[in-house]
Amino acid sequence: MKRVGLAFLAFCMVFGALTGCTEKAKPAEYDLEALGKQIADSGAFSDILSPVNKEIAASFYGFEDAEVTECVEYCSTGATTEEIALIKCADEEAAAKISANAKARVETQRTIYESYAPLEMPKLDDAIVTQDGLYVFYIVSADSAKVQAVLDGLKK
Amino acid sequence: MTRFNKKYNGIRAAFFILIVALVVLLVYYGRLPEDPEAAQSAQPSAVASQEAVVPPEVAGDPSVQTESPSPSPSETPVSGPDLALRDPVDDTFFEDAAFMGNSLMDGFRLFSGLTTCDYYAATSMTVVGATSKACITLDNGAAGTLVQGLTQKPYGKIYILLGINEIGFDVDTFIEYYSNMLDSIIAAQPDCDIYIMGLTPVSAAKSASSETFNMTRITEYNTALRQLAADKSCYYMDLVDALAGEDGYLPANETTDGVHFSAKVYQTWLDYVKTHYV
Repeated sequence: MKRVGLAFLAFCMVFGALTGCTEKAKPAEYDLEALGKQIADSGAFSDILSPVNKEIAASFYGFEDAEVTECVEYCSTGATTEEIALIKCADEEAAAKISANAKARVETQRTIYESYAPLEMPKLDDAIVTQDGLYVFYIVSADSAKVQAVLDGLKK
Repeated sequence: MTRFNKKYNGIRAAFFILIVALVVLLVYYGRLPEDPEAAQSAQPSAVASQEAVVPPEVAGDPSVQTESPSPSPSETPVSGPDLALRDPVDDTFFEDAAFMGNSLMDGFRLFSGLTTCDYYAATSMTVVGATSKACITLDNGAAGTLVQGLTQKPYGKIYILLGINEIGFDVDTFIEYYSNMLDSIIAAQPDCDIYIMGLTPVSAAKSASSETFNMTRITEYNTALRQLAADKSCYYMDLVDALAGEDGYLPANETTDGVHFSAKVYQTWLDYVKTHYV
């Protein structure tokens, strides 16, 4: 009986571990509308952010309409570089391209704002530019720790 | 009937014929000098409507486009470079339009929702930079200036917003630069309606705290821009009137730096553009 109990315990441990591995490998899925609002309301921004359409995001990140299946973009008044771009790409190739363009956007913004609004430089230094599967995030804020806390909260 | 009577009747008939002939001649020759003008005014309504949309200062200038493209049912006369309130046009009105300017114009691109036109805008842009700074990609793939962008193809309407980034300049110098830029645009787009947008208002706090970004300076610039619009046969858009609150300043709750503003203000700006045109 004792042996049976130990065998069952071992089975449960192995099964649980395997199940855990399987769940970990599952591609991330995000509700971009909800996430965008959560980040915008996180208190990380000093400027007024307003949503803009996919066409505007395409002009920033250089994608074709078919390359992006979903996009949430918030822009500042122009006084700052603050911005939220949450993009779901159609495939890995598009994701890699848009991720590269997002990184390039940090440098473009740095060039534009370095003499116009030098106080924006630390925000660009702390820009969050990440790719998670088909998702590309570009977030520039006044307090990147608050934004990161929101993103970290999604993984718990 | 005596011979005298016959002679008298003959004289009377001849006199009558002479009088009739004189009257006919007077009427004929009296009207003749008016005929060319009468022919020119054969389409009085068309001439009147054309004159209604041309600033009086430039009505005699043959280089000025005189045909109104307005799809609006209303026919409000235009006084000088100023534009009167009219019925709103829809987005198709801007299919032959280009908007050029600084970060505020880029904000208009982002937040107005108007996508039927072309935009040539860049952060920190100035009138000098518009003709010298290669900051956009032209249709041929080469880098170019905003003004080069504007002259890539024919446009029916061009809207320009520049000035806030050089508000520290002497006004005469600013206008000289602006005038030179306008000349190059007009030379490339002679049949285009050009709308010069006045500087947008700043917040009361900004105005009170800044030596340059204040409403006194902005009013000074805008007065000069309005005169330039008149001098160059262009139209002037009063964005202070359009965007300021009742106190004459940009509403404090719509801005964070006192100069740039929220999406809500851009919608007000779009409404103004759609209701002020020729």
